[in-house]
Amino acid sequence: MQLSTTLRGKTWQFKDLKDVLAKANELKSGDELAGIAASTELERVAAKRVLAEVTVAELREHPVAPYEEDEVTRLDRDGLDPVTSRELGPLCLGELRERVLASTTTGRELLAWGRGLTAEAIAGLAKLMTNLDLVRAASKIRVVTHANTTVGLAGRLSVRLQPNHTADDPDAITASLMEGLAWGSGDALIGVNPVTDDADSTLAVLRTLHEFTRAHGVPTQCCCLAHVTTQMEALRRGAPMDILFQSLAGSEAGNRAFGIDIALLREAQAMIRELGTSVGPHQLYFETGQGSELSSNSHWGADQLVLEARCYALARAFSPFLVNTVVGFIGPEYLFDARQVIRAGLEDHFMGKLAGLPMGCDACYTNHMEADQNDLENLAVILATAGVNYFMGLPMGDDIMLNYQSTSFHDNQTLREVLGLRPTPEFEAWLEHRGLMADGKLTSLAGDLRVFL
Amino acid sequence: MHDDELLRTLVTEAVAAAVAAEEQRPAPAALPPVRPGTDPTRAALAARVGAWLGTPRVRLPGPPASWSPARDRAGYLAATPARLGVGRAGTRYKTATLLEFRSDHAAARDAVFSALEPELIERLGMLSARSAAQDRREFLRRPDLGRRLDEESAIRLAREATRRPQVQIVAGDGLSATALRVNLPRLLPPLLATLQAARLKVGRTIYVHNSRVALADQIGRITEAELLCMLVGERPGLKSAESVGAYITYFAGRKLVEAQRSVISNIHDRGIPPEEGASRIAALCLRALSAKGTGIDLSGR
Repeated sequence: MQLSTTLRGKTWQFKDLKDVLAKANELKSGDELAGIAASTELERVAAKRVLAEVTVAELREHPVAPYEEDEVTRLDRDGLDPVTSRELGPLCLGELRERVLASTTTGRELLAWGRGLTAEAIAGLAKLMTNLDLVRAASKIRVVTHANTTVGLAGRLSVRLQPNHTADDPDAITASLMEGLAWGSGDALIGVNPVTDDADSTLAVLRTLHEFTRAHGVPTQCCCLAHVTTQMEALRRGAPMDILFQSLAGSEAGNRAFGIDIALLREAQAMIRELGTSVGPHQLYFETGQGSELSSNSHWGADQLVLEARCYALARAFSPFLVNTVVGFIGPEYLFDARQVIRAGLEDHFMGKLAGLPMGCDACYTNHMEADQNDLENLAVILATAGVNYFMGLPMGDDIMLNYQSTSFHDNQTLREVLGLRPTPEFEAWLEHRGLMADGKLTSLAGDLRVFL
Repeated sequence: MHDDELLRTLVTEAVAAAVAAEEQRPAPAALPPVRPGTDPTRAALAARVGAWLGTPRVRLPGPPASWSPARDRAGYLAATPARLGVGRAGTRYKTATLLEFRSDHAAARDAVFSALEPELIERLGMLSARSAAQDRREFLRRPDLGRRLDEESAIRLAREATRRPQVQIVAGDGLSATALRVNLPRLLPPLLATLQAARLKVGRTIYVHNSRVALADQIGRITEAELLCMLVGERPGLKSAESVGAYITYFAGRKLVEAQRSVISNIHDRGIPPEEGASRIAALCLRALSAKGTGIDLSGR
């Protein structure tokens, strides 16, 4: 394996494959914080040149966390499709990039290839791609999932309605829920982040959501984003739960910091299959986001893009209903400004889709990072063009509980109308039936919670 | 385990069938009322999904529960500070709501880059120090530097800070110096008065510029404090850029985990008013000193 290259008369030598991967990454403040980023732009390009010559097999043989010490590495390697993995093994990443982008390569082929690629290979590929490359490749892939309804079909853009409240007050949640539905939001999921992470609150939130949506015949699924163990307890107590949620990290130690491991996730999956109120087959919802492993010091010296790809390697073993990269939430020490956030959003969406996941994105920003509303809107337009499955939907994008800004009811419907995209077929029929939408456009009744009163 | 590709194909086929069935329906106006769980296309789809999974009984949503509104429109809008009922210009915001949103964000941004005036630091009788982060930009990028003092400050505090206090209060600007400017003058004097009335040895308050919560631990080591009370400017939200969080740590030279801190957050006029914050913090300090613990050590008792 070649770990050096000569560029502009200078020879660049890299320590190992992990070093090449880290330095080939586009600039991220989190990699600088970890002390593993390229120190100059030329060094970054030198690393990309080396990476372009690395084969898929070499990346498979050199995981960033050792096979013996990390269950995410084991799950990824052991779960590869052996035939595809063998076929793609001799390809170097530069060549693979061109094959991925080739006009003759279809989304179905990409999904098949994805099953033979490790997280390291998928991340390596993303590092060789421009933003438009990432859009081009991802836009070929459709990942369709079903719980009560169907998300991810071509020509559709869905929304996770996020009716959070600072005290989990049922009427407050219902108010945001009603207005969101009246805007055509909520066809992917209605998901509340609870303030209090206990089974009682989870149960109460789920009952509020369930009773309203079932009474009004809303074709969707509901979820309360407490810790997985809290949700399991709520399920035991008879909570009406369509979808079970958990945040993931890309290493065993990172997941331990989240209070989970693979065995626990398997147990949770068996439980929602048995006790959940959705039809399935897909009943899990995962959230990820670059930088979480470094923040819990479980990153194995690897860069945050590789670790994010490893989250997807973990996620795909569970055939989730939705996966969501929360791209601007973590803070400027990991993604400093809008440029880094937009890049990360496009990388995550592409990597997740190639890994066969139903990717959505929480296109968002916090008030202490160098980004604002315009940047969020830019990212949303690009991702919608790339075929993202869903965005978040909040009243004016302002999350009054988590204190950050994401996409709004207004934003999502604007994207749909500008790009000719529609909600899920089931939800669109319901909106039309309620007189809120006609021919993919909002009617004059839409946007006001009065329709439910 | 089911085969993913097979599953995907099956889902796609089932969905295509469902969509086709839907397209053959009459025009929207003539749609029958949608009743959960009984829509034929959904029932058929559910049955197929159940069949692939080998699940004999597929649970469908039950019959419609009765739901009647608890409030009228105005009542629901008043139930939450969320930005509801703002109307629309096409699918975009009205101009007035857009500008209000922008002004809230601008206030939050300005709070992040604000600094505490030297006169206020002096008026409140605080010792002034700074973290190892040289400027705001570095502070935002390097959390590690915000958790330790710069060398000069460390030397100065070793010389001038109160030795072995029972309670050491530290004020850190964190992500909003505005929060300290607004709340400290109303929070600090009653807090100090209550602690002193309880005959505790309270160290002279220390202000640290560009600091994060864990920086208090270094001050604890320097002063050999028993209890640390860090008042820090919280990350500004759109609803408030002026919120202070109080992190109380029973320190006594120990190596700590984050869960061993007790927190009272959201101290500002529209949350916990600063005067009430002072009495809650003082009460927590007294409890922590008698229990010799904070965070999980305190709640576990």
